[in-house]
Amino acid sequence: MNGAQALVAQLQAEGVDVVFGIPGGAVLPLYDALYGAPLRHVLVRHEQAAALAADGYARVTGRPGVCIATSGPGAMNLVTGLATSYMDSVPVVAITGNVATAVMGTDAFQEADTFGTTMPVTKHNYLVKDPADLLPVLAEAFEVARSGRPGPVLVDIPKDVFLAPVGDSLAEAAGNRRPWARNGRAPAPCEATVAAAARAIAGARQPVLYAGGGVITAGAADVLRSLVEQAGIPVTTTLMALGSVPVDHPLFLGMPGMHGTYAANMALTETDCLIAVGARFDDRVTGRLAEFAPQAAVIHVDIDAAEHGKIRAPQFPIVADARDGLEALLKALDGLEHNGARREWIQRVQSWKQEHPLEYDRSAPEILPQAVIEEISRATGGDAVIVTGVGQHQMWTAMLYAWKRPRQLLTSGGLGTMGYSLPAAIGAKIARPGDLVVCVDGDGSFQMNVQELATVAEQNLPLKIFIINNGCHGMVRQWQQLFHGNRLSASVFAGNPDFVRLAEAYGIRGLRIDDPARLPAGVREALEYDGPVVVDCIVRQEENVLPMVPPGAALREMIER
Amino acid sequence: MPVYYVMVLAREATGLLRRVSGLCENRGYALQSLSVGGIGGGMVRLGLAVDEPRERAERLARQLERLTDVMAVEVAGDHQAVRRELALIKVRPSPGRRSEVLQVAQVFRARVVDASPGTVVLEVTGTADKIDALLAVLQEYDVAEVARGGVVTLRRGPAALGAEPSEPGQPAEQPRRWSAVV
Repeated sequence: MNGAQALVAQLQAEGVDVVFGIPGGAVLPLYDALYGAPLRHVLVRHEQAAALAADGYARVTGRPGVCIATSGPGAMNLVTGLATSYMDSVPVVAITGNVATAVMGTDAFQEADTFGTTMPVTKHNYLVKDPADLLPVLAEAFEVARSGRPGPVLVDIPKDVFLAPVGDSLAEAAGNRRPWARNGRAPAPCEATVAAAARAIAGARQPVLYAGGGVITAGAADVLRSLVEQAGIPVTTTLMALGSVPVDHPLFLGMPGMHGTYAANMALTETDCLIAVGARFDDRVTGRLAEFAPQAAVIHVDIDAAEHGKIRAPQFPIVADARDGLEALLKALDGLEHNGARREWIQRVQSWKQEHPLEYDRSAPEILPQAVIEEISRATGGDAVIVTGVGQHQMWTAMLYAWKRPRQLLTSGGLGTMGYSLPAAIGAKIARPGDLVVCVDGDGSFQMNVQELATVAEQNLPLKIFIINNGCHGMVRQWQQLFHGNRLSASVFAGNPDFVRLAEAYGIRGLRIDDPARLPAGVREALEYDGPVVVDCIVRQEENVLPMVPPGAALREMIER
Repeated sequence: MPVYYVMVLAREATGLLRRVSGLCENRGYALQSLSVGGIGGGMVRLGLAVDEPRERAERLARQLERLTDVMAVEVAGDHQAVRRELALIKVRPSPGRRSEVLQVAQVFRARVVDASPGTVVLEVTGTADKIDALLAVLQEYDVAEVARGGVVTLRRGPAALGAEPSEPGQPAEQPRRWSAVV
């Protein structure tokens, strides 16, 4: 077996059933090994889409997604996708070819320093110069990607390493390489800290649980619910954690932060005990840090010890997987008496929810973007996998879709990668062919990976792609209006392509909805159509995402209307 | 500002140095000194000196622990670590002042490791302060060239970086164990 053939066999041994990629000179041996192999290869049209499709695959399954790119430009095009996965802690394994070791460092054709370039956007990366290392490195790459706090891992393989003879199996190659010392097991939460944290929770008058993406990664949504219900704690979930608590749950406050709900932001401002679980105190959540939960004792459960005190120093740092940490807290709370003021707090929080719901002008003559999201939510029964781009439509989707379960929302939260929706939806649909997968994208964001319509058509993936078309980079336009004297610099498009005809050019059905009266029927028509469909929803350009906490302001200083 | 020493034990791997220095740069840490050396058994020890408050130094340690190749990290202050730096100093004393340079060398316990008709090369080992002091004195004699090796550190006492605590329950005296995650 040569390196490429052994690599394909090892991918199968890892349980990989699909890879996303584009061939090229340096990966020709790998593609030769893939030819006829019982491993599905999805040919995308841009390497960034390969990385994002692998990301989407990983987010819906929890298993590492795999992407392949050739040397130089192919590998460079992966960077945005890898950075996306890195910021949101998504397990991805990227395999790149490189020029032969003999010419590395000579500025050979399509040579780039992939190893150096991707170092800061991956959890770990490897340059395999010795064929004997190939299989052990690959096995380690998967282990690193999925263990602890997951993340993307890149393995860069020179062409001659693909072609060199290697052992037939990992077992044969074992012992060649110093094993990764850390086996990826999460530590058990410190009992004393958990006990002290439990006492702080029980004694708190106004506790709030602030859940982040770690809750979904750890599969901890059920324990989270048990904890908040048994202890009577209002809960806010970040963009990355939406779905871990159903939106109709009485203790659910909505999303916190810049476009958070009034209830979530006020609860975070007034709380005396903040339980952060699998969350990292992102600036979009905290607003002005000095006034974020200023009176609160902080309990911070995170598997990554580097997150403790990175932004806010916790009184009770618990280094643990979100599930283990929540289970330990639940157990430690057993038998403790909760502060009697809790009932009053819950009533207060619920009255905030009632008095400050998410609102918009329902009598507008044109279609409002929020109405499209609500209609999609209604028509899908809150059951679809939703994949967004980045911008206003992303925030409206987060706010208004009726989330029910974890891994239902796929969105680039940390990096804010426009163009995420279409490729990530491809990965999600391939991973979960039985699920309804809906793209909610903006016209700006959509055009950043529009070429993937070719992949959708080629793979015949029945994606429902809604473009919230406001003819501009809406979030940029909103910031320019609010904070730059309405000087709309480069944010409004002079023109857009005809998205209906564009879809049709790719062999995909195209629909346009520009009349509010036709919105429900149009959405239904798209969902019922047997195949992929692009729906161009023409919405009001001037609509803003509200509420909004201005940049640098405290959460309580939000603009509501 | 106080200097803290971040001691890192890592597995030998391509890119290790770039990873560590890149992390420091990305997270906004200016390294005052960096020393790197293989210590056998496929392991490398790095010593980072940072001019930062203790909590920032500790935060850097937590970030370094996240690196896959890193096995153990520990932070020590001035008094918690034995610190040594090596410097080679080429001096070009004017005719007649050569013996003065040799006297200065003796005071600082520096060794002469090379001499030519116009120059003397001194080797000196010690804390960074001692080397700074020697350099200050030598300014008078025309220092032509200086090479410094970066500070190497070991924690005082019985503890060893990366080793399991021998007696559980004495965490203060023991090195911080690497967290088995991330």
